[in-house]
Amino acid sequence: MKLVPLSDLAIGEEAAVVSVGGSHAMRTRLNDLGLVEGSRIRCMYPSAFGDPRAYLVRGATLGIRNSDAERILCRKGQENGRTHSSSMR
Amino acid sequence: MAGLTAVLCGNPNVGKSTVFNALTGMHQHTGNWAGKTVESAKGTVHDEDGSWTLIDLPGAYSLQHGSPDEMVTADYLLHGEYDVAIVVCDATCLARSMVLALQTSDLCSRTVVCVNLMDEARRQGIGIDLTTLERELGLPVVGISAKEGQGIDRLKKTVRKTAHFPNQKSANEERHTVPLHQKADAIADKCLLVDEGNELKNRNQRMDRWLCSPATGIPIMLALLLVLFYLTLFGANIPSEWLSKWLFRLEDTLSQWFIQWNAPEWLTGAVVHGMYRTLAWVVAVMLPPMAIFFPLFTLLEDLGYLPRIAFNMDRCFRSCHACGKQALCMCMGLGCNAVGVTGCRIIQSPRERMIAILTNAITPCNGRLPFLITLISAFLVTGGGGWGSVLSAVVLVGLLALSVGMTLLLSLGLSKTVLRGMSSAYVLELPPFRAPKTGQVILRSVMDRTIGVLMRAVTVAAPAGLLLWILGYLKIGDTSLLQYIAHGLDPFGRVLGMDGAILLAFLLGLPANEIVLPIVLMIYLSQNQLMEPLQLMTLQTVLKTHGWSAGTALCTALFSMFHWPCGTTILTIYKETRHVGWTLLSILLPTMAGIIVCSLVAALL
Repeated sequence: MKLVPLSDLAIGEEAAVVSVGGSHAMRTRLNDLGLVEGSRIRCMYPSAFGDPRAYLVRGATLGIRNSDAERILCRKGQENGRTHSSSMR
Repeated sequence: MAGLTAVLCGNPNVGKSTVFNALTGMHQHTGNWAGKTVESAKGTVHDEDGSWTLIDLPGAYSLQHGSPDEMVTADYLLHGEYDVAIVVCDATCLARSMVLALQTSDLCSRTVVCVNLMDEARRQGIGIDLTTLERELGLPVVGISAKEGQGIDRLKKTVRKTAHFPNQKSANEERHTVPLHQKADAIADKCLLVDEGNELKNRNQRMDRWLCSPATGIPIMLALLLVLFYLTLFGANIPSEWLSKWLFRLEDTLSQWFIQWNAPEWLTGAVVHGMYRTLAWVVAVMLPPMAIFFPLFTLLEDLGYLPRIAFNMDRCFRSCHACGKQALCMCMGLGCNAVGVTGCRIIQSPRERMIAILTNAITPCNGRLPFLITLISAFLVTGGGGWGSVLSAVVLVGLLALSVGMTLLLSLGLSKTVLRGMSSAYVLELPPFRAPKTGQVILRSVMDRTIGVLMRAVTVAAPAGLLLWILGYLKIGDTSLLQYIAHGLDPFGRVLGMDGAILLAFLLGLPANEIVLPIVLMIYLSQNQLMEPLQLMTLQTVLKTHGWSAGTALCTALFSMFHWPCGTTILTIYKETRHVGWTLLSILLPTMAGIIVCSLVAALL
């Protein structure tokens, strides 16, 4: 399936993270918060001005700016559909 | 066994401080907010066999890299003196917590894994098989609910038992992040039982949809702030009156004592009518609003609403190269700028934190809001009956919007000049909504915030009161020095759409903005002490006979928002930045803004 940036996910849509891009500091921070290659992620809701948006990763809700989400590539689809504990691979 | 020492580490916002409090019986305040615990704390734990020492390390996601907090924690785990490491994990977010648990057990074989928030996880439909977790990790695991105190005794016993294990600190073997995360995932997967259709989780998500939606997010935020103000300003009236009555009665007693001791008149004046009176005034007007504002604010903090403000407002701040969390510092600044400045610690990037510190005084605090309201109702919106108060509220909101606009403008200006740079790596955690903590902990946080600020206010107010009294007491011919200076400042005041007396009042009002209007009256009425508050009508008449127009009131209101921070805030800024240059800039920046805005308005009117 085609890879899409995280920012392209519609509200409520789910995906698996394939690669995390951006600055070193950004990647580190995302990894710390549990967003790594392989994590399942679901777009939850936008903020009042539409940017940043909230995503559910491993049971935690994270606010990520669209400009950063553009650098995170993922593969859409439900697979085994658990965003709580990522059970990918 | 004497001298047992344990360290407490964990991801930010997993209830680590609550565990610390539950173990030690202390009341360190915790917020539902990542990165709240900035300084590490030390406490004593009592159990059946005596007592041991517990050290609370700063929150960390991992030990390999990253923030200063994480370096402190990693360094202590590697080189510090301790017997047992306790890793606090979040039951609602187990996979993420496992990363730190695995890394810690690499550094210290005597590691106890403490899974907190078990009850909350159960409510969210998450079950955890602790036996499997223990086997997978090869470490002792204790499941607790620290807020309810469940499992704390078992945790104490497990720490005791683990202290007897042999300790092999293995070499810090570097592991790549991704395999570590995969291992953590695999472990968490084996122990988790998740019910996806859980009611509480869905309710949480529904609430977030309202709080963050484009249509309702901002109105709800404004409504909450409005309620906060209303309760603060009107709720504070009664205790303020009571407090000032009591403190001024004490002033009479004091001055009688001085008379009995045959103290010279100037001494009574300087100490009682100068220093004491100003001090009492500042305490009476400052204490009640703060004692109401901050508990309410702490409530919002504990509920988990504050990160949503940062989330919603991020867009505005990012376009000025600043950080969404600055919105929170501004909200705190509405209560007290000194607290707002301290609150800037939640911003990780030093550049963005400095921007937030330097611009905080632009947000009108509790000390200035009543002044603004008085000016609006005495001059800007007169008459109109029921519509009048609505219109007053609209004007006040307009002024507040102006202060937000100015904050954004100055933030942009700063990030284009002395604090050049782009927005930093910004991922905001939105914690689940949690029931607020117990009264005692809230009380403690209020005491810390309020007393701290009050003590600093007192150190500024007493000398300023003395100066004020001397200026009113010393006379050249028939005119007091105070009026003499006011007269001298007059031309400059006129340029700003005000007069010399108002400008001098702002200068002498340095200890606290609350005394600006009393000083204006003191100068107009040729008194040599602060004036009791007047009725609105009388106030209007007095000001009008001294040449006030609606334009004067507008310029005074604008200058009240945009001028140097109060003495307490300046001291706090110095304490936070430890730098004279930045402190000076924090004084100059809003002052320049005020001079430009007021002279423009004065020229146009």
